[in-house]
Amino acid sequence: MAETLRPAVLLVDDEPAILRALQRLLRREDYEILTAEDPRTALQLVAAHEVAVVISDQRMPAGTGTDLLAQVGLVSPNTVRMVLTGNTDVETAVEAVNRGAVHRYLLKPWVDDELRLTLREGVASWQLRRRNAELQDLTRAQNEQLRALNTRLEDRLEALRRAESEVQQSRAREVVLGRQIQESLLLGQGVDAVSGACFGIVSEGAQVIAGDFYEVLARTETGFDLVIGDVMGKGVGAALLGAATKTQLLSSINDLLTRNGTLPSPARIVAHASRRLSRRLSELESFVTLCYARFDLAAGVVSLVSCGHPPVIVRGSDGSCQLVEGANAPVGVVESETFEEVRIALQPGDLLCLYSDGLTEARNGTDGMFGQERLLAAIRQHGEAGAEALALQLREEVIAHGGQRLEDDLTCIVVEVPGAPGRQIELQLVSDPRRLPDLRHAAQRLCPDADTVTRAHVDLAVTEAATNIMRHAYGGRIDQPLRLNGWRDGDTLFLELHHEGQPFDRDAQREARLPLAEGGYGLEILAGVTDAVEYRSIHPRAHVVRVTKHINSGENTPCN
Amino acid sequence: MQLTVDRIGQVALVTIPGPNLDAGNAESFKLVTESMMGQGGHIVLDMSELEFVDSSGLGALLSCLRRFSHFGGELRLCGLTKPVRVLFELVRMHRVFEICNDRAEALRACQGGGESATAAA
Repeated sequence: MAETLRPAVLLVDDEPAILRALQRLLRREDYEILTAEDPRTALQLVAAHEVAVVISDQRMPAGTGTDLLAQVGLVSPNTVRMVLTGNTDVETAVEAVNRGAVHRYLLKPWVDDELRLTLREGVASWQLRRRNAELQDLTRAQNEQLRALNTRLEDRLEALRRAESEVQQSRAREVVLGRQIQESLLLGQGVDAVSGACFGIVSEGAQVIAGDFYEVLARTETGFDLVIGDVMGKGVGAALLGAATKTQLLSSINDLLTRNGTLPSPARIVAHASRRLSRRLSELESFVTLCYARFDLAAGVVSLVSCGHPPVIVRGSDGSCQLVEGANAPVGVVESETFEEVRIALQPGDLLCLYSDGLTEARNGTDGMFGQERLLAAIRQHGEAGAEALALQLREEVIAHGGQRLEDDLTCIVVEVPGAPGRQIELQLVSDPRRLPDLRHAAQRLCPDADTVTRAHVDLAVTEAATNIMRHAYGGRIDQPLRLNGWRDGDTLFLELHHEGQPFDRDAQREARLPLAEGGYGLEILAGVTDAVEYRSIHPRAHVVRVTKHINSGENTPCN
Repeated sequence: MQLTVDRIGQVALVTIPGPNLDAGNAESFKLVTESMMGQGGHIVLDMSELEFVDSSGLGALLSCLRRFSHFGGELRLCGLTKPVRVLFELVRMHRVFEICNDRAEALRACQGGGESATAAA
């Protein structure tokens, strides 16, 4: 049966006369009229058609109208169900309406207009329900779409989060890689070979790796070249450019040395390297600031070629500071053929401070940049403590100023011209035996005038005293505080090691001096190389080992 | 610690890397040399790269000497720098160890059946 656009009304009655009467009544209404004489036929029709209203007789030989309509309700819930009943069945019909099986009941005999009206209401109600159901379907479909969109969105968000975490991991890897580049390629390792000067070096990497580099090239005990530089930009790219610049400088020295047989001047080295680097740097839209310094401590002179690098600060032993600026442009900005070299005369006890702009430009939210004035004030105030202590002090002040966070690399090298006796030293470190060379280095600064044997004795004295503290006062812990204070009073050297470990028990100390016990030589050596060793407690948790040593000056003292 | 070992005939020539043998690396030196001991023969420790040895370094060298002698080997030191000699003489270790001026002298001493010129500079 074909679907029709007109609402279908199904009439059910076992009496054909009633069916005909109803059909007549509804002839002028715009309905598709279906008829059935028994409940079974009626159900078949409901299953096959979309029926708007069913009007069923209550009493039929094959079953009741209310039962039929209850089944219609199951098959087609939107169909409006009405029962046509005689007076005797009203109670049953009301009960059927109440339990929801039937929507309305109509009494026989019916009033024509009333029945037509009721039927129209029924059809209208069916149309409303159908529309409602359509809307619900639409809403359901739209919800479904929305859910699908949501899921896709969540998938995308998840993908985005994954990508972000990968980027972060890759950044972290970059920082590690950058740090390795910096440690292995960018930072100089040649300081140890220069015994004629003291160095204080601070090299602190920023959160994101930048391109600071330095190198110390020892030529003789008192002659060395020092180069410090800073590549514009940050990241592994800048670090690699820094490494490339350093490599080029070394290779330029080598080229010029091979070609001419004499050591080339700093200006020639920088010019040579600049010719090789400039084009590549400008192609990469980067440039390098650097300062190349050649120290000749025996002659008391330093020659500087500074290319756009911050000024070198020279501090005299009286505390006065002088700024030495270079007139050359950074390498990679303009291709230059000649580089200006500045020569400065050095006095014993002078300190030279070379640094990258990460030091003066370290900033925080309230006080702005660290700046040159603060730097000069710190150098004036703390220079007396020597190169190492000054470098550490500067590091501390800059990091504190920047709120414990560095945005750029911080490189600072302090070079101390030796030969100012009678000064004090102070070195703060931890009880790690690997720091022993630092202690020796610091102690040696107090006796540059001593002969070889005395210098060996001073090394042994400070090493044995410190090792004793590390092993016995601290029981081998390597992260405990240890401070070396030293000073000269004429020919007498005083070294004090301050610690917070167990105080020394004198009797136990004497027992430890059993000969030939492996490692038991420490105290014998300490006694043998010093004039006096004193153990003092200045507080229940602060103890001092003080070593006194007469300094023999001059060389060639027989050691047998 | 990385030790360089050259084998010249029956002699193992070991260069101790500089510049320090002190409490900071003596343990590591002991560990590395222990693995080389135990086969007897001749061993020469070249100390020319060392600018500083302390009591811990000395202890490690002594332990090396004891262990090597225990296995019937002969141990010699050579190339002591001046600061190191200062220490050896201070604790009279130049009488405990057999010390040669340089590698050549140490090798000759090994080949000469244990007789050597002890260097007391």
